[in-house]
Amino acid sequence: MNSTLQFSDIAKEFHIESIELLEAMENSLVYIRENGMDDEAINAVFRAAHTIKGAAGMYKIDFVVEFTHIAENVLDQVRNGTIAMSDELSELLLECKDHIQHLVEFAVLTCNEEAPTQELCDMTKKLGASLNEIMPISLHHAVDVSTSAPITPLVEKEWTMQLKLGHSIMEQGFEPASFLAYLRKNSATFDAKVHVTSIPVIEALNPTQCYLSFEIEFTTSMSKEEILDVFDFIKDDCEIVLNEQVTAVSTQSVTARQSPKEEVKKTTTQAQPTAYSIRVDAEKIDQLINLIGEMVIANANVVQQSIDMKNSELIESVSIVSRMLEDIREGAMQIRMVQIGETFNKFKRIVMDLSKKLGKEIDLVIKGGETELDKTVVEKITDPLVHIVRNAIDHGIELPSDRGDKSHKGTLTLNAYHDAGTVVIEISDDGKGLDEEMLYKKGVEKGLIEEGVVLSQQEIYKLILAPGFSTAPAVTDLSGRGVGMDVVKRNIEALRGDIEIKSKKGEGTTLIIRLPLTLAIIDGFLVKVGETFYVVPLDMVVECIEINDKEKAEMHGNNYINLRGSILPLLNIGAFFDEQKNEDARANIVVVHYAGRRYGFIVDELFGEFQTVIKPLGKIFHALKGISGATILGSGTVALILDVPMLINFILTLKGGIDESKSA
Amino acid sequence: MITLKESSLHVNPSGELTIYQVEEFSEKVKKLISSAERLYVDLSQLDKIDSAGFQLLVSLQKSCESSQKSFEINGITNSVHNFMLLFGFDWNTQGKGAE
Repeated sequence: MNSTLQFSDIAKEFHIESIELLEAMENSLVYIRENGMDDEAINAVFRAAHTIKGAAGMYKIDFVVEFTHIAENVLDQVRNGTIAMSDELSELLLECKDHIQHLVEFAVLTCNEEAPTQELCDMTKKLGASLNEIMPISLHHAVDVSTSAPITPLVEKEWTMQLKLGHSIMEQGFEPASFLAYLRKNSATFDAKVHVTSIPVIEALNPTQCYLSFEIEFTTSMSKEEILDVFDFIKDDCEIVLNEQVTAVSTQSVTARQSPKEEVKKTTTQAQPTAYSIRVDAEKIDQLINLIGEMVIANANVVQQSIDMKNSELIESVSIVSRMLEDIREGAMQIRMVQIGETFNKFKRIVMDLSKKLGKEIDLVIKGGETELDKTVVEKITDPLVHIVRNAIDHGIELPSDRGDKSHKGTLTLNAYHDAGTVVIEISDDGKGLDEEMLYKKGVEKGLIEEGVVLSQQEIYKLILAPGFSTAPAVTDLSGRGVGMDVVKRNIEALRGDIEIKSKKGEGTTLIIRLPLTLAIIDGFLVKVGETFYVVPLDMVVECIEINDKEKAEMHGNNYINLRGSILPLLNIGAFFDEQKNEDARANIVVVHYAGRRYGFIVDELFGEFQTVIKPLGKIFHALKGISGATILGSGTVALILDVPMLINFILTLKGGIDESKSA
Repeated sequence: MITLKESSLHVNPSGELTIYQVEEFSEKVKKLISSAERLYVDLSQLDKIDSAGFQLLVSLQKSCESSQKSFEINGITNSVHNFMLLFGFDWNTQGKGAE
């Protein structure tokens, strides 16, 4: 059997699964660090280490197995309550998690054909020694009764369990005694009997195969689900029959017990997963969405043809297909939607490590973690967010001694929410805020602006996003090289998003990033200017106004109108894109809503809602402003998708920052 | 450590008898057990045992019973005792209560 060949076949899968497990491990360790010891969290850490060891064992990645085994031993003792959790230990376990990740990545990179580097071996030795120091030599899987204090439950129930373990569980890295020890730790009374009838004589014994089954009687306040959860990660390989004999021991009256026979409720669990999920390669989903996109375009053509033929029955049939197609599109897009909370959680570790390194005390507050956006957007935004968070910790939040009247502990807040078809991500700190004068001075020094030029507050703030700009007095390994924030700006613009900065000296800074929900298919609003069709993202459209002659006369040279008592800044799309003027036709305004304000685009004709498949423009149009992509209409004509954030920035540049347009 | 002295097989595992040692250990025992009439297991040097190690010892005991060889187990350390306690297993009754 060629195990190396096998490993190269599954290396990608192994890598993905291991990274997911390691992320779960990190999240749980950070949770313990923040909230103290937690059974569920330490179980998750143990489970992750266990599973990685099992998988690595299957593919004979010995250096991963050996190190993970040492860490797992310590984790087992921690979860059984024999070793106390401390800040030092959680710190060490986080280092172990990092090291396991490096080992896994090395194995994947080399297809498990090379011995680990000297650096990796040294780290294995160093961390292994630290772990062994914690581990008393005589410890083993079973917990000494005297060391584990049973919990004092409010409502205890008596249970009997028949547990038949699967043959392969030990080979997968699971130790039956650990499950029993955990159950015993959480039980007031516990009596297990092992069945050894299935163990064969030595000649027939496969020593790594499991032949054990148990009969266990125990009293616990754990619910049925909690008991079964103990065996959650081996449930597919074992048979559990759980019988409950109810004995209520509440703080109030004790009810007389009925005969056990009447009370017995039988629960049999035999690999019956309640939730079903499958792992699908992201490329396959992208392919599906592309196909649906093509279908949307083809369907638009069918719709057009049916209208041209004036066949009412055909039009009706086509409209049914169109609705179904929209549902399919919606469903496919949902598959790719992920919660941003997973990304936000990664920052807990970054904030913890960096604040410690810099001697700062920082609380991370996460809001809106349930906000969903396209997985592709999430992947591309993660690195820019890391830069911003690092900057906020390094430059924004002061040392405890420099925070004056403020709490000595700084706060970094990550917040996400949906707003008019976009996702808004805010990164706020309560640090020293931005110093306009200093930024201006630095901008002049670096040759980014000319001395004496008048800039708006936003323009001065945005200097921090310019390449080569740095206010750090010294270059550190964290920041100060003047790279990073310009990359952030570039990446966000590449996603058709934009970035806004708010700051108050002495009080803090907030970076507001707005991103499109998806990069693939959107609902659009079709308009025409001159001979060109344009699409405005429907989520941003508030209303459309047909302008009469009186209003035309009051349009202040196409700059703004008075819309029901408030100023509506305008942009003439025809003039902006240098379309042929058509004085008679220009009589419509599309009112859009963006970043809490309203603006109007002057267009010639309105065509209404239209499902839009976004086709990126080629590199030749890289510098084109105001257009974020293109789409194909049913007639085969190309329509251009307006880049609303960029156009609004243009309006603001014209106005020097209009503030009168705030929405009520 | 496994030694055969005058048809007595002495099995003295030291340190750990876990899933990482059982394969090698069982191979050594398999080679020698047929030549032995008696089996002496001494666990006094054992720091740690797990389910795989436990199964191996039970399997040895069963092999002796099936071929009418005498089987003796001694030197049960605290850690091994605690492990047996968790499993509700007694070498003398060989867990018969559960069978």
